[in-house]
Amino acid sequence: MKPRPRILLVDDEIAIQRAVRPLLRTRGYDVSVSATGHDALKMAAEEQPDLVVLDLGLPDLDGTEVCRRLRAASGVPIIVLSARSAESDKVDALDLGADDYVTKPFGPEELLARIRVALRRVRADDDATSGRLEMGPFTIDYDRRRVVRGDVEIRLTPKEFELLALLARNHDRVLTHRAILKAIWGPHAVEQPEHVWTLVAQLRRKIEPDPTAPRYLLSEPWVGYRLVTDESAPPRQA
Amino acid sequence: VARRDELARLFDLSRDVLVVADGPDALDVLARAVGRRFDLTSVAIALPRDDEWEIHGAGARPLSLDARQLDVAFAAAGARLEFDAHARTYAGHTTMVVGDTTVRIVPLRASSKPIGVLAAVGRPIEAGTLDALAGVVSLAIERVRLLEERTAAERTREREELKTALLASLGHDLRTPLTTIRVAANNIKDASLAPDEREEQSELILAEAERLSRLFQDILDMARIDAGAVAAAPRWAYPSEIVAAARDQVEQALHHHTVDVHVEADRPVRLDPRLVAAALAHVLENAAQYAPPDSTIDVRSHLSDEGLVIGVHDHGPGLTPADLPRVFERFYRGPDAVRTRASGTGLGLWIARGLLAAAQGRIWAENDPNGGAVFTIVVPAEIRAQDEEPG
Repeated sequence: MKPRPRILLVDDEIAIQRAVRPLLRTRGYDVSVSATGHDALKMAAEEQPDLVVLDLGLPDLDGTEVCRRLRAASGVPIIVLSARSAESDKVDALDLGADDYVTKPFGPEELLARIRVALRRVRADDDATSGRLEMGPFTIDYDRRRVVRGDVEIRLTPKEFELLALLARNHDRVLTHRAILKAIWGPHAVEQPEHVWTLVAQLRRKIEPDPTAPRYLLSEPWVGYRLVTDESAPPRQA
Repeated sequence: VARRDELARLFDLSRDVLVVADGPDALDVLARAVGRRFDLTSVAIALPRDDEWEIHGAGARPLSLDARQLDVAFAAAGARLEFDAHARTYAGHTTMVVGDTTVRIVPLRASSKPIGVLAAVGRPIEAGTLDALAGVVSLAIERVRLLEERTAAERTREREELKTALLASLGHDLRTPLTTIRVAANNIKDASLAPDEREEQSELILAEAERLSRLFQDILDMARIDAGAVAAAPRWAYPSEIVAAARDQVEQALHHHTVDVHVEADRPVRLDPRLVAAALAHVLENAAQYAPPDSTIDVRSHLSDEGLVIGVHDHGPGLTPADLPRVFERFYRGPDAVRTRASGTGLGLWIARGLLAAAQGRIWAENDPNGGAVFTIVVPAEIRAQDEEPG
């Protein structure tokens, strides 16, 4: 029998702990809880959880700092809980290696869906050994820099291929505008999001069946983009 | 000699204008200073505002200046600015006859642009001196306007800060209970939950809903205080009733503390017991948040010449020197509270003070030299003599 994945929940609000712990437990996860950043880092090192749910407003350490240190220590998926009023903290956390975010107040299904996607992504990465990625009807061949849908090759410009490859390597994760700009245009371009908008629009015209209603290359409003491999994952609440 | 005398007057006037504070009567003060320093019968500063003339006058007889004549004088002042070497004056001087009085009109200019006119009645003043005088007055008007603008900007900034603090505080205090209620309600539906766990989840929902109601009440109270809509409704009440009502309101928050009540002279007092109890409830809640669990909170009440006095003494860490002047500020939360995340909006003590103010009452905070914080409430009240029956 497969062991139950272990989730480390980091939130200093007792009420949230008391509600989220049974939610995760009844859905098949083992749960550890910690209320401070220092404690969370210690527990993450000792218990090696499969995933961390991290509230960004902690009493002792800045949430983004916890995120940075967790990521420096391991590749554990991190889902940050953030307030709508703390938009920039969320983006910072994603830039520092968080995989996804859920905005408080959130509903249980939303959190569970993000957890499922993040855990599946890790398992998929474990299997990935070849230079190819199958994604829905697409096959991305990193070595030959080719993208095929069915039997038909989709011709991409070098920049378009770079963007698709970047998103595909990080499939199901949110990539911030900053992260995409830095990876494709270099660190000097991080303040020019219009580059990304233009390139995303071009790429969508080539890979999306209906570029006006994207199924694969999804926008995360004000944050960045995400390439989804599982179309059944629920869309984010508006 | 005459010239020396006028210079002395100008000098004194320029000293006067430097101490004119901004405010609704700043320009009246300025006009009075001109009248006094130059021994004039009447002085008026006339400034065009929209389609009307705003006139600030001083002197024995108020000047009734004709708006149309002012328009003409002002237009002439704007038309040219030439120095008349012979009269040692700039253009634009004129006279106006009001009743049987001749009024001298001098343009007021700020960086060569006309901003209004100065009207003077009384002893003759040389044209050049009048120009210098008008210059000083213009500078003073500009200075008052700058001060006003600065005050207005300050106020806008404060309002903006208040809005930001309000949103941040309410945001946090709404998000946690809303998330908890959604998740816990979902948990209850889960068939695999044990009965005692189900019970715990439902208690969690009730507690968080209670937290939301308190927050809602705080927001309402805040709006009422801001709108000046808190009215005291005095009636006779016993101090012990007021203390008991306050404890009831924050029973949940006081769960982990012992409250020791001592009411000295429990005789009927006439005040608004609802307001006082609500204020006291906030003070008790505050004490429960800052004093360690299982500590005692002492509530002492007595009657004084002023009225009802209620003291709340906790056995917590006390107030830091930084806290002391600021505890009653809206949204202020002690550095410790922010660190330990004591829940709370930072509204409680501000509301307590606002409610008490509506009852002409006061509240202040201090530290007990032997430890703990002491909050004292004083509310003016008529006190029933001991042998009277309350009616």
